[in-house]
Amino acid sequence: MEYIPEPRQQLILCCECGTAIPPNPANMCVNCVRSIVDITEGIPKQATVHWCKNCERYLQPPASWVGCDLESRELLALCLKKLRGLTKVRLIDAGFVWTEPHSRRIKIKLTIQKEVFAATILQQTFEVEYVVSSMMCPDCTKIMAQNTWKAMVQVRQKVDHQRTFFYLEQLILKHSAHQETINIKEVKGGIDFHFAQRSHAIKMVEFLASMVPTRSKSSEQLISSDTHTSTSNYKFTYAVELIPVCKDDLVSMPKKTANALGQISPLVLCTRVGNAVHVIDFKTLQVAEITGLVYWRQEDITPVCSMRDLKEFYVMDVELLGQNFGRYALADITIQRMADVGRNDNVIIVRSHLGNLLNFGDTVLGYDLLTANINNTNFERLSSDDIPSVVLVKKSYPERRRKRKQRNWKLKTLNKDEGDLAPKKLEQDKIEADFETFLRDLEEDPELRQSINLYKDSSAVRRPVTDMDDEDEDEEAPEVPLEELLEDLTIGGGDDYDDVDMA
Amino acid sequence: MAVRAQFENNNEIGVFSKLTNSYCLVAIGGSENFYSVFEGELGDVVPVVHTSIAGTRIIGRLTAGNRRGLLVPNSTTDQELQHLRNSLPDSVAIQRIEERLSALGNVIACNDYVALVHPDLDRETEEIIADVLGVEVFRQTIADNVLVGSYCAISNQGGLVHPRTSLQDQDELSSLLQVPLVAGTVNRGSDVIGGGLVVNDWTAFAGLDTTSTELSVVESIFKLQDSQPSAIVNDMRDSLIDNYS
Repeated sequence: MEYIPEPRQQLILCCECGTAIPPNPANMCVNCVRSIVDITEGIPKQATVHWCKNCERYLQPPASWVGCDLESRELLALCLKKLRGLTKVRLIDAGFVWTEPHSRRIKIKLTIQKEVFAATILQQTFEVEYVVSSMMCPDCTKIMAQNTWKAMVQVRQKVDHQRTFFYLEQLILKHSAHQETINIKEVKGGIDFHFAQRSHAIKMVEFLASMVPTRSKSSEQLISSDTHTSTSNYKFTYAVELIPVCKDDLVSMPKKTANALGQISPLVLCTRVGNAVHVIDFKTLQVAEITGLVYWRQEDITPVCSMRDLKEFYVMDVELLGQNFGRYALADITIQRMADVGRNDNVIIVRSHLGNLLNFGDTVLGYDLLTANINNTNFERLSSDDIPSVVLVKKSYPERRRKRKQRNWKLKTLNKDEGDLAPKKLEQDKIEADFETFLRDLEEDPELRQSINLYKDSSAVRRPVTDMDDEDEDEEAPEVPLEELLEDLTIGGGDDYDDVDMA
Repeated sequence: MAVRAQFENNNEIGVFSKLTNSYCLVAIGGSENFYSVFEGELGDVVPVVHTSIAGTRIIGRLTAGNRRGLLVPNSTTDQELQHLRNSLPDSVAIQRIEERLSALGNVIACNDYVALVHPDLDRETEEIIADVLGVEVFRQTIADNVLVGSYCAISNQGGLVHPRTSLQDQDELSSLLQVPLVAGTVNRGSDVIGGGLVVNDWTAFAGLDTTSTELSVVESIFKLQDSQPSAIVNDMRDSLIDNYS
């Protein structure tokens, strides 16, 4: 057997402590090298990161704020950027050490390498502790502070329902007119929009004026002034009043005004509110437009009955008179109050513009002027010949039928501040009823839908329609066709409005 | 005794001095401190000579020598040669060598009996070394470095070699030199032994950075603990007395 000498490791003495070590470039044992040079020198072991507790974002110096989760890559990058000395060493590894979130401490374990002496690379692992100090970001400060807005737009409508504001909200969302608002506040009778700049407020006022007939008034309040430079600081308030006439309102006006609108009857029905108010004379199918200018000149065109006064009637007979205008057709319609159906033979014969829409057996909504309690000077001045007993407004659909249906669409909502007090239960119910009415209006009126964005409710679209058991109902309640709906685009967290499932 | 010294803030004192058992050369510096250290240790035993070689101060790297002789490169001026001749004892032979590798201190490591030389050295130079220094010449490398003079320091008592010299090489060198060897460092981990250390049979000078551990290694391998110039007499007294009685 051949003798193979075992290769022995030659050792030298560490030049500092004298322990035997294999030779290395520094010819020193690791402990001695560590004790002589600290490669973490110049790297702070403790640092502070600023965090806005309102929006939960971290300050990325100098001025940007980024949202990142605990123990995320983004946060690690942000933390590492805080360490100044890190550029002089080679970073091998970095990772989070778990800390209790409420401790407001972030710990990071770093492994770095650095050349010490000549050709000696030392690797070291150490921890850096970050104190998360809370600091409100400028955006949140602006929102939280009371006096940061420079201009405010107060939108008001003197009616007892909120349908117009629901519609306006959708218009604003579609046109992204709310982007410069600092805060949107719901107040009694309307909405306040706060802006950081006067020009933004003016833009909003003009946007509203282009959408619905409005009247606006501006006022300013002196906050401070400097006599030396003759500059002063104002707050501007724009009071925007919306026309109080809504869709399906019965409107009366003095004879003179009616004549000015093309000899229209003084008692008309509002069909649409767009840039102007569209009215129709339900007895002759004559139409007219009331612009904001005309309305605010006299302010004598007043709604007599509105949505809440609608009563349901049963259609007994429809006799078309042959006169058509658009989708309207003039007809004499025999109706009975819902309460009278099957009890007595009290029928009412009215002239209506809904001849095309109504058939025997339908139910219809209308204003019962015989029983209505109306306080209106214009209305009182009308001769009794001009006042019909019932004014039919729109076809109605059985409640039961609607309840079954899940809506396959939804709307977006503005992120509103509800003010100091949440509405009471009763008021809340009223608002919900108004909203439901608004949604039904949308379903029934394609024209109304055109001007706003409807989104697919993916949960409802996926839901299979199973219960088609009640085939006895010959008519479907109107629905929004799928092709009119938009795909909802959800960019994680970036949206400033909440998606509320309204179906 | 091993002493720490510094030449004008430089720890590589082997560059600026040459120490043998019969003489010591030091470079001409701005201050006399360096000279004083050598003078204080050696003054009454061997001559300490201020000199330059070829007008430079790096005399330790340019010259090689032992008790019997001194080899200087071809670039040495006549004046310097004359000065050395005048300053050194007559028993020391001085020889100018015509050699391509003119840094003789780097390519030759020697004690009074053996010289390790650069493998590429001229045959003629090798012969001159053998004649002038009265040594056996071996072409060697130390830890794969050809500059044997830079990476080791040897005396008649022992030798310190480059820290990466393998045990096999150490054994081989040790058997050539017939002295014990150890791998080590000077100047706080520097492996340029010849640059940081000059040594003769009874004293050693190391750079100021040399740690106490390194110094103790130097003292133990070169057997400097209690050695004095007269130690040899004490060592030999018994045998002398035995012989002559």
